[in-house]
Amino acid sequence: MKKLFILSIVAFLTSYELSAQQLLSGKVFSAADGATLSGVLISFPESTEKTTSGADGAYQIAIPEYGGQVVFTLVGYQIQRFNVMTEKVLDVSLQENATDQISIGFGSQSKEELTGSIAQIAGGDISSQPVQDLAQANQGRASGVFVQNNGGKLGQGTTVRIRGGSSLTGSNNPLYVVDGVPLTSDSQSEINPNNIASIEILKDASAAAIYGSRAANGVILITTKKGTSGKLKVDLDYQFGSSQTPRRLDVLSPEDYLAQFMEFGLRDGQNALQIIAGFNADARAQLDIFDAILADASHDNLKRWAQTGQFDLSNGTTYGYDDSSVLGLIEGRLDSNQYKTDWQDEIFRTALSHRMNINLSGGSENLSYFGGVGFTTQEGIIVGNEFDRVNIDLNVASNKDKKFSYQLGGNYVYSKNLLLNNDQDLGSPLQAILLPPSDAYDPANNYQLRVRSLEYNPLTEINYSDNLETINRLIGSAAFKYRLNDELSVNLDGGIDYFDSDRDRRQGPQTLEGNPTGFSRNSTTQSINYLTNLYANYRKDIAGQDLNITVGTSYQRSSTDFTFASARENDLNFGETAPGYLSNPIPSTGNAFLSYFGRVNYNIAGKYLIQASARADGSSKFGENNRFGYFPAVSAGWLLSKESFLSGSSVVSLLKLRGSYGIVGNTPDDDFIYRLNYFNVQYGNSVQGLRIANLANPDLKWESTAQLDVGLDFSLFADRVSGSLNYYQKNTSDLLFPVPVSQTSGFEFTLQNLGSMTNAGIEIELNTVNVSTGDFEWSSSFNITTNQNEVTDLGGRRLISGVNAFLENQPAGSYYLPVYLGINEITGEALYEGINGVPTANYDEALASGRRVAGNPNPELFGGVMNQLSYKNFDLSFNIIFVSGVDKYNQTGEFLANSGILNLNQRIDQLDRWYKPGDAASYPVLDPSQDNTFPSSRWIEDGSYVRLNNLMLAFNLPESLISNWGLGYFKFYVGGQNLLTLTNYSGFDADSNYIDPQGGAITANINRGIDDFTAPQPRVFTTGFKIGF
Amino acid sequence: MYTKNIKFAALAFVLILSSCSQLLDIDEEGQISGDVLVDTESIEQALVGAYYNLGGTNDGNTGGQLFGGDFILIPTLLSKNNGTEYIWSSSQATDYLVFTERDGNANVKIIATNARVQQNWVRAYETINLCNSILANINNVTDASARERIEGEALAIRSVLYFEMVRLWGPDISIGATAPAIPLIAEPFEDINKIETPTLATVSQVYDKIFTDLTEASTLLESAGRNGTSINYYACQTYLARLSMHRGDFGAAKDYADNVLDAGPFSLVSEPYLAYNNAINSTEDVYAIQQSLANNSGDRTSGTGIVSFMSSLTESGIGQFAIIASSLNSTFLANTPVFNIGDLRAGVLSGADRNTTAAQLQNALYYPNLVNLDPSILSSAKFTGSQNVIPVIRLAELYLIRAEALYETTGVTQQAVNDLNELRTRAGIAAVDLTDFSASADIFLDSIKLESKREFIFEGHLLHNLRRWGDIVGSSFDSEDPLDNKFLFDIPQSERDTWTD
Repeated sequence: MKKLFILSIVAFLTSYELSAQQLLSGKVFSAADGATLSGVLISFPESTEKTTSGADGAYQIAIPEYGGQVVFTLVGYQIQRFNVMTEKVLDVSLQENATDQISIGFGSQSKEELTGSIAQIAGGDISSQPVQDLAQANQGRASGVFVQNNGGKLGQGTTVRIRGGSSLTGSNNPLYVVDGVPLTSDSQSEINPNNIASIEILKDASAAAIYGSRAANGVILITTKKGTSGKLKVDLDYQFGSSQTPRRLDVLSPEDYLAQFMEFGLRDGQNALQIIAGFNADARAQLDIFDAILADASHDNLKRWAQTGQFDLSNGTTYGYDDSSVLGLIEGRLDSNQYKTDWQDEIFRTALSHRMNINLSGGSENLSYFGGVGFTTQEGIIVGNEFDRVNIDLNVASNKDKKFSYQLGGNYVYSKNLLLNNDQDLGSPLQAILLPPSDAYDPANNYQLRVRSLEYNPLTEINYSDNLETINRLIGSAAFKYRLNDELSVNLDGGIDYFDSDRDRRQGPQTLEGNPTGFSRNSTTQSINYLTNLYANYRKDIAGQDLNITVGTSYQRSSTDFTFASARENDLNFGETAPGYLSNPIPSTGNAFLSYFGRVNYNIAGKYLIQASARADGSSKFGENNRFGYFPAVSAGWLLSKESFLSGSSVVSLLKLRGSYGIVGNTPDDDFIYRLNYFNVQYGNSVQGLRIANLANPDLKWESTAQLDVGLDFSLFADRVSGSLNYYQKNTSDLLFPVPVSQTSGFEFTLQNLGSMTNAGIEIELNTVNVSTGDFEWSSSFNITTNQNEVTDLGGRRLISGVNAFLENQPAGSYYLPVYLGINEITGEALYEGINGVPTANYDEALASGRRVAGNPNPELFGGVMNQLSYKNFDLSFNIIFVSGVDKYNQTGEFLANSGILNLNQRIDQLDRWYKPGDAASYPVLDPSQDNTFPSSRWIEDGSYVRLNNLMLAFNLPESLISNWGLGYFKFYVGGQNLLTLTNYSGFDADSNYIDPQGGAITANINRGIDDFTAPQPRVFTTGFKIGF
Repeated sequence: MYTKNIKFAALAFVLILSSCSQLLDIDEEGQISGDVLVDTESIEQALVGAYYNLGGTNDGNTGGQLFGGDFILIPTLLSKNNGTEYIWSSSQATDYLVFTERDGNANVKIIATNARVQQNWVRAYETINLCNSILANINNVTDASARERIEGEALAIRSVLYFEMVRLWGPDISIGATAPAIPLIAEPFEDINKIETPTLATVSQVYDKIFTDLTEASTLLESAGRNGTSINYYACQTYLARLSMHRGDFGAAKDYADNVLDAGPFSLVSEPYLAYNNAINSTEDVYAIQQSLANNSGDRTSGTGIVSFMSSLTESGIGQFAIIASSLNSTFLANTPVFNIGDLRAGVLSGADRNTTAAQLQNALYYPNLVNLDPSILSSAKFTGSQNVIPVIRLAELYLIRAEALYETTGVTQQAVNDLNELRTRAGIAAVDLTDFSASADIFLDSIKLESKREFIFEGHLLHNLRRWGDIVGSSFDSEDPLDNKFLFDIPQSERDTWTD
């Protein structure tokens, strides 16, 4: 990546030119209203020439000897550049910079005024990406924001971490605020990526503290598109996509598998014969043959035997198929020899998608409106997976300059997702790759395998079950503003987030869980979340000192209802009398936040910026003693570029040093965990009973995260190079941790505040205009983040779950496993580090001697490079993302090396296993009597990757042509997503993180980085057009 | 104007602020929290919750503990020999492997980190906590007869659990009366600040507590009679009889057995196989765990519960517990049932295949293990479906208790012989006669032991009886003493880790 940056600097340097001395003069106007603009900096960055426009907008400047590029810069306006050579007069109109104002929550600031650490992603950057989930479009776009796909099936979602996770058992997801409405479901996934105006990511404590108790993981403010005054504008776009798996695993061919099959039979037979050979002469003789063959075994020998029927021992003896001693093997072999199936062909497919949007916007002087309808239908790359969505967005806003103004908006989503089994479940689709390639299935017989009829074929599950999730969601907001005078305004906001999900799952009698009568389940989730904010803004300019005060109060209430019913019937419309009907009432959950907040910004002489904010948050999630938490933050900025020693510098247009410190909080995932709770059960024939869900913890309190942030923002060479540099340190204390307690209480763990964790890192963002010649434009933005996570204190305790653990002085979720030491060349057994470090083949001993930290599932470094190029009517953009310093647990690989009892298919590299004493092989012997693929460091792999994540080439039809058709613009494009990946990871996709949807927050937090038959992100080719009129 | 505006804004804020605190006092529909056990209905529900746990009901995460499986399965695994009496494949249900490894391994202990031991431990104490909560709030039941019944049942469930636990975690009372065994918890936990390091009561302290509580429970429950399918007076009496047998108080044991056999409403079913796989309690079920299609301890789909391991029917089990046929009529095994020809408890279904269903088993109590499909490997047909009740006390046991108690107190009497014959004649084998034992009364005890091994094979009784009798596990040339500590459960390591000195 470093190389690329250097390249762009070079590109910028080479655009220097020389020209003769002449004078250029003209006027600068505002493009919006034609008014003249004063104070515009006009410069030739290649020389030292610069001036500012006067009160009437007029300017005059000397042109360098051989001409050059003149740049017009004014805060709040888009920069304009012109190449001048011989011109004398140049009048310029500057466009107001729409994105210069940055949402900071309950207000906005210009970039220059910011003292906190806030990243911004413009809506246009993400609208063309063929992604299901908005978060996916943000991958690699902002420093400090790590976006990981949970899996490649539609609806699997993403994991988003801002500056590392701050909690072990609570949510680590950022708080999403859509048009002012904080979402309670931690999910932005249904928002239409096409209708985003901008996304602001509040990263440091000073930026996020205004959201107090839920800001420990950062805040993502999503602003959807609004109307602009003017005549009716119509935007139309359509995109077609075709997706495929970007990668297939190299598994054994039918021929190689048959060799394995023969070996399995020999070793299994050898084991059986050894038991009786001592007193059975026939068995002894047969065993001698088996031993002799195995002593000469190699993959090639076995394969030849399977193909030719002839096994030639090195001593000259030959064994054919029909030797009675090995006949048992042959029979099985012949059965298996008839079929050939590439299971990846059966499971993966080329999937098509269509996406359409129509937006209408416009308005009068007093009112603007925006309306949009989006429709997406998308197939998954795995058979049976499908997703449809309709988005309807509406927004009406009155003129902001009026005394009373308002804004009303609504985003409605309807989606249907045909889901597949969870990755870990038996019958999860990708498990088909384990099936013998020398087998086939019979569609007429429940997709049962023809030879190995007892193995479970995931296609049976896919073809005989339905798993449909339907979602209705409405996010509505209303904002009213009353300006009492120029200085004081009062705002009243209301918001609502309604979410309704209906999940119908039927498993037919042919499936494993549905056998023998079918199994049907209906579940619904309905949540409603409403919010009111009342706040006042006071702004006063006193002799160049800008004071800005915001005070307010907020109340948010959310509540979620659930229903669940199941029956042992192959019909989703089962009634209460259906066999095995089960419907335990599920208690509703809910919570309330009552908050008071305030923020003061003080700007002295436009150079010294100070901000202090505080929020007092009361949450219903705690007992009365600990309900309120207090979250203060301070920050300061120093605009060095406004100091006399830099002002007027033609090199530095912005240089700002800033720092912040503050405390933010996090609440437990469960709503009522502080009190004694019971839940309903049924015993026998539906007699209602009670069990205790948890014991009360009246002392439960907030997790609190103190964050320090120092940063530097800069803009150089007339904004051709700009960026920022940040260092942050987050210390979370009073972690909510499941503390083991005496089980005589009926519980193994109770949730208590215990322990602490840190995240520290550096973020660098660099934006460059590499080439700007009018016809040819090239700009890049580059970001890189490092993050070091460490659990610093757990009071001497630890929590181990599967292959991951929370351990003191280690990153959260570190892999904690026995150490794999290769194989014993005499016996072929796998070796692990045993007691006192002595290698042992006894896995239990290895476990008992203590596991070791075997890897870190949290990336230490990640980022992205975005490039925008345009030449005449062509636009080209491409984004590269990278992740490094991360380990994955390749559980898929573990199963694909499973030598054990079932003799399943394997990865092709497993052929380099031990066959006979002395083999210096990479992998252990095929052992028919046990699975020797126990969890160990053997399955830890480097999960680093570099990916060409997005590429788009667009052609804009010439304005001269389309204006005749009454069009404003007409753009064609072709592009792709996930086009090329460089990685050493051997699994399907390093960008995966399987999360058990039923596992709850603790499981999601601790079981990180696992690839458990997790589908890869699709490679998508797209083509589409965008029209405006 | 300006100050007026400020005042207006300030007023608005004050209005909002003043209404505050109550806004956080929220609750939600269906939440059951805080002081819940305040009326008869909720206390009854807590009692149902205790039964739910007692039956090891699969809750989607775990299942098959306590009487839903492990109180039957684990003692069976411990009291029989892996390799000569049964086969437990090492590739699945690995948490149970440690219970199959007694033989020949002098120092093999049941490791303290074993997951099944821990799961039974925590589920038992969860159930005990529910009972304690009921008992602490029992005065909230206003109706006197309901109050007595509920109190009796809560005391009885707690006692039954303590009895089964002290037998598994503690040494037999005959050799370890003063040894520390398990914590006796009698107060409910409502908040985590009450949790503290427990103290271990000795075996005899646990026995004394059970004796006191079951005696009280008997008084409270006597008028409730059969009491539906819940724990009743007769179940309490049976447990008191079991306890008395362990204590060697045979006179008391006989009296308790009399109270069930003579005064109780139960009767033996006409043929042995009718005692198993019933959707509702049979006439000889004194107490049984209730199961239904939706609520049960599990089967092959969940991989939990007694049916999952015992049954090898494609519809219900994985056949993990595979019986070696020759062990049922062995010449060298110490605890072989040596079924006589014609014993209805030894019938094997012929011609079974993977499509065989429970309904086809009819009167056979064995069928070829359908996983192995090897005629020398059998499955027991005692637990074939997860919708059936799981007997905890069958009346048959009371006959054997009384016969043995009579033998120990008054010698072989006609009553004792009659009791033994109740089971023999039902099983279709010849009755014995008082005169058969005139030469040696000891033969009578051997007959009772043998009958118990035949009648209750794979029902979890053998281990406890062998300990009581001082007999061996295995065979005469490859024997283990079940009184050895390696047959005992350890306090779970995860429990000990929480203890502070």
